[in-house]
Amino acid sequence: MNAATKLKDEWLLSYAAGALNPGRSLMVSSHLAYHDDLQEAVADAEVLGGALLEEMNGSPVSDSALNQLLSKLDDSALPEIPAVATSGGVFPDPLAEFVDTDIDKLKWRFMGPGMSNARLWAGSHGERLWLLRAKGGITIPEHGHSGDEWTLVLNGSYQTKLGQFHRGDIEVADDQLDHQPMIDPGEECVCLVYTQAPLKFKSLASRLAQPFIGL
Amino acid sequence: MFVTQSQPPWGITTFKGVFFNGIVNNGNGATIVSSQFRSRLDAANMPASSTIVEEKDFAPLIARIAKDRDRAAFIEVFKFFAPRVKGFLMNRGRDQQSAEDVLQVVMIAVWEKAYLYSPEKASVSTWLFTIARYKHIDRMRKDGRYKLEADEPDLRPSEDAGSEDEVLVSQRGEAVKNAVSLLPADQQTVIHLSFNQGLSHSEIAEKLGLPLGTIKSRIRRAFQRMREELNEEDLGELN
Repeated sequence: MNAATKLKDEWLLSYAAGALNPGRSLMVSSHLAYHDDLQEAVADAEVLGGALLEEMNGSPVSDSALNQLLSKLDDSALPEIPAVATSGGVFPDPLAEFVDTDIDKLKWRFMGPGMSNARLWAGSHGERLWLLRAKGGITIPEHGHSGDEWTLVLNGSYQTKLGQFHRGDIEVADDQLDHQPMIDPGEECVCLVYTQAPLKFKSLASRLAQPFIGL
Repeated sequence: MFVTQSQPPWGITTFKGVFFNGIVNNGNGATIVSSQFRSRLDAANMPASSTIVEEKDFAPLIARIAKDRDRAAFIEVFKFFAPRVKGFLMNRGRDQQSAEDVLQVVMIAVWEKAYLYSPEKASVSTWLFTIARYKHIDRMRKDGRYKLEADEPDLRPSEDAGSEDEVLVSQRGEAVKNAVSLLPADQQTVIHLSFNQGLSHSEIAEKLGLPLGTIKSRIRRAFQRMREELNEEDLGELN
């Protein structure tokens, strides 16, 4: 079983173009943090973005906008050497910047035995970006999806019938796939999850719990 | 820095109207073309250029902003890029006011983060593009319900970004546009809709009346061919 563990090129290009919604965009930038080869691909696409920006039909900007801006600029000196990014712990840098707090300070909600989630962002069409924390050895109740579900492993690992997913891997599930992720024993598993639409849990118990889980 | 025709410039020149098979048409009459691009066009028996425009290299201006807090340098960068960034934002559905709001945030980031710009890693236009993209998405993200205070983005180009040290950053913009111009029209269209209008895969599928899977594979093929073309050019530089 060799499941794909990296996002495909069409997502990298759309990310570089700024054509993804904020949830997917943060998902991709977090995924990139683990993979040099994907960063290279995105950098190539960004060169195109820059070239297109140059030839963009500009929209006139008034002098008053410039003057207003100039009045806001702070003339104090800038550091000469880029500040070293602080480690976000389990979070890759782009996610650490967004969350801007320690993992334990987030608002974690009970999701089932050994599982909790923290919601990060919600789109206007039911999209959600959230964090999953699950103890080693537990199984997430079997569920399907009404749309895409992307799961990026930030810590630990898990398996589904498609294969095993480790730190930095992304699992792409669509509405055709039902899965029942099993967290590998040992380490706690932390994942960043993007769901395009609410999950569809199979068991009655999970479905009844769903309104409280909020996903 | 002014460049001669025999040396492809920093990447500002472009052949308007032919790029994207005419989908992008700047409409101001000036056709701008680089020598490198022109030879491609000649070979392809396409219309020749009418005007050669030589452009400045903005990297020294960013350095002056960083080191000397030079407002004149900032104004020069603003004059060139602000209308373009505003155009970029309006293409993505922002109205005048909203585009100007985000533009201010972008330009303040240029002033505050100039020291993070590295000319070896990216052209100024690419850097500005990534800032504009970030600030645009960031503003959308803050509209999400579970609002979190996001800090300033990391505007440093990644250490591993930009794979080919041998090729001058200044030439990559030209090479990339060149590579896109060689794609089949249907592939150029999806690239254009992604970059110039910021449309998602499903929005493009809807607009073109095609299945989502077709759009995804079209973007994937376009991107892969573009990168193959680039890698060939890079090898050419080495030989």
